[in-house]
Amino acid sequence: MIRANLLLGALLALFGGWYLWLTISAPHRRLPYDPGIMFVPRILASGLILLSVLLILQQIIVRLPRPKEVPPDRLQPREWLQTFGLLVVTATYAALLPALGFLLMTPIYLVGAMLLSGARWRVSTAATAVVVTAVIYVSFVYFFKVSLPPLPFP
Amino acid sequence: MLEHLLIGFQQALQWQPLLAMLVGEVVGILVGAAPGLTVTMAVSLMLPATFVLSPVSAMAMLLGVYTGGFMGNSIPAILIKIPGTPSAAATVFDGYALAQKGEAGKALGVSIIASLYGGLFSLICLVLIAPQLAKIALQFGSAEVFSLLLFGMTIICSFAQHSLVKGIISGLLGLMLVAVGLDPLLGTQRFTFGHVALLQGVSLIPAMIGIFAIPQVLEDLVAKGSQAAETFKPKVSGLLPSWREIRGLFGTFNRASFIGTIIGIIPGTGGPIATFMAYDYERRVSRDPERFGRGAIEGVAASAGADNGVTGGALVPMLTLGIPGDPVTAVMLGALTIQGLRPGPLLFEQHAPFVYGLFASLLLANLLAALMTLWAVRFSVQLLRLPKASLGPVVLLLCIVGSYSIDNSYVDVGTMLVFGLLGFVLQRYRFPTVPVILALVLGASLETNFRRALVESQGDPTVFFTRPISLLFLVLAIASVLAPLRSRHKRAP
Repeated sequence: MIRANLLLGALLALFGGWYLWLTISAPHRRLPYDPGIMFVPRILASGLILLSVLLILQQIIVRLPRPKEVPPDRLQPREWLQTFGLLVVTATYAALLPALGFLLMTPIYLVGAMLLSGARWRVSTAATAVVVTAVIYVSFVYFFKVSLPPLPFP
Repeated sequence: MLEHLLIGFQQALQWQPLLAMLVGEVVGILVGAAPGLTVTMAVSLMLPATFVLSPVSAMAMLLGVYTGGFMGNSIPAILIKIPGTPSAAATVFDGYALAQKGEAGKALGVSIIASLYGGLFSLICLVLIAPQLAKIALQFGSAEVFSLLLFGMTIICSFAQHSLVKGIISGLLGLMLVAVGLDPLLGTQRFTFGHVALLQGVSLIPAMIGIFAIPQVLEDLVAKGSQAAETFKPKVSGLLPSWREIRGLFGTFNRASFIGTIIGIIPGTGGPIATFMAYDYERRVSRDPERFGRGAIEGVAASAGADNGVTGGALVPMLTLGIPGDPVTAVMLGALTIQGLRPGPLLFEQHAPFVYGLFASLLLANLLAALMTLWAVRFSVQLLRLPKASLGPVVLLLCIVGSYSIDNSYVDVGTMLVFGLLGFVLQRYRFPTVPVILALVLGASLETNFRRALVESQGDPTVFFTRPISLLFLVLAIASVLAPLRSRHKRAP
């Protein structure tokens, strides 16, 4: 956990530095008596840098109070694959949705995501995917008037 | 007053207002329970339907949507960790934990009863002391609202139990992300890098959906391993808590309803702030604060009670001053104007039967919403009977459709996914995610009111300390930060 906190502290300090640089390099615009559009972001960036440094110091200096944290479980290669696979499949589905349409993409996505989540391939898996697609499509499109893209390349 | 109330009930109990209310309740509960759809949107959608109705029927329909939405929003928050509306975010913390323990029914039952209590409490305040309460709203300028929001931000300290540094870092990250988009006072671009998609800034609801739901789905995936076919097996039989349990929660109901009503009165605040404040206050007064976040029923009661307490509170400035307390009452204000009524001090004198008809409708709407949501819960809990391996992807799909449906925009879907990934990383490395949400909810108003107060006071920073209400909230904010630090210091060996 110490190593992870050190790395995250460094990354956050870098992010804070970059953000602070953006606030300084932006054109100065303000109303009379207004501290300006970058005043608050500048305070926030400075605060983030300070706290990130404190987070790093907490890990290095033994005397500083260090929170008792339970480190996250180490992910097995299969779990990494499942987690990031699910994220990639979901992001791909969201990206392809406008072009390929909800009715075609959703059952395919659901079956793929269920298999990735550990479900076994059965007829019921495909049936669940089709039923869920239909229920969500009907309720959102016909009841809530949300314009989900129905078919490929409308 | 009694005579006016009787006339009000006579009007509200006719078949037209009751039917309009029933339609409103159905729409409200469904919209509240559907992730991504807001009560404001539902009230706006129903607005054209009110043109052909009488004033009392029109308001009965809109109040039905309003109360139904506030009760229905706890259903997905408790069952699948997706807050139906931003106000239900605080219900997620303990509601979902109870659902995981197999007590989804109990959590939903308490949430509905607390909601009903909050709605009735704020209604009584509205009927009895609306003009006096309206004076409180007039005391709140930009400096007071800023100090109140700053006090609200100190809730971060309560959510950063393990590491205050990490809690504040999370809050700062949220505030920095809120700054993306158009500047709230000048309308000039900030941190948009020339991308049109970033002009609208971070959309709150997709961010909230992503940060709550996606990390949970991914963590469940990792945690359950081979038990993919496992389900939660919710206990639907225990939907209504026992009288003994309800009696034990009366203190919570009163505190939460009071906070919800007061916050509702203040224009520009609203449900999310009230629920976070009520939740935090309940945790502070609890003898066993460690239970909060792990399935404390008081946590569910506090957030749900404050959530619906806002409904009556927000109507106070709308009816007495013509100032809407939140976006929903702004739409209602429009509906009243369309009906030829002009909210303000004269409304109570010139249209007393209508005003009391509205009060009676609000009472009936709260009761009807509670009954209908209790009925709806029996069906919605069945969602948890899906095997976890199927429930996760369905939740992800609802996240995508819910985010998209806010503005029919794929940018919102992208926002949801980015915040989902951020939430997953933060949660894994023990950064609390609630401060990010709190910052997203309060951040924009915090900055706007800070700068507006300075402009109004001609650049005088003492404005925050010289106005009594503002000073009071600043003192409370300092006390709120110091209290956990002091208790931590005491606990340290």
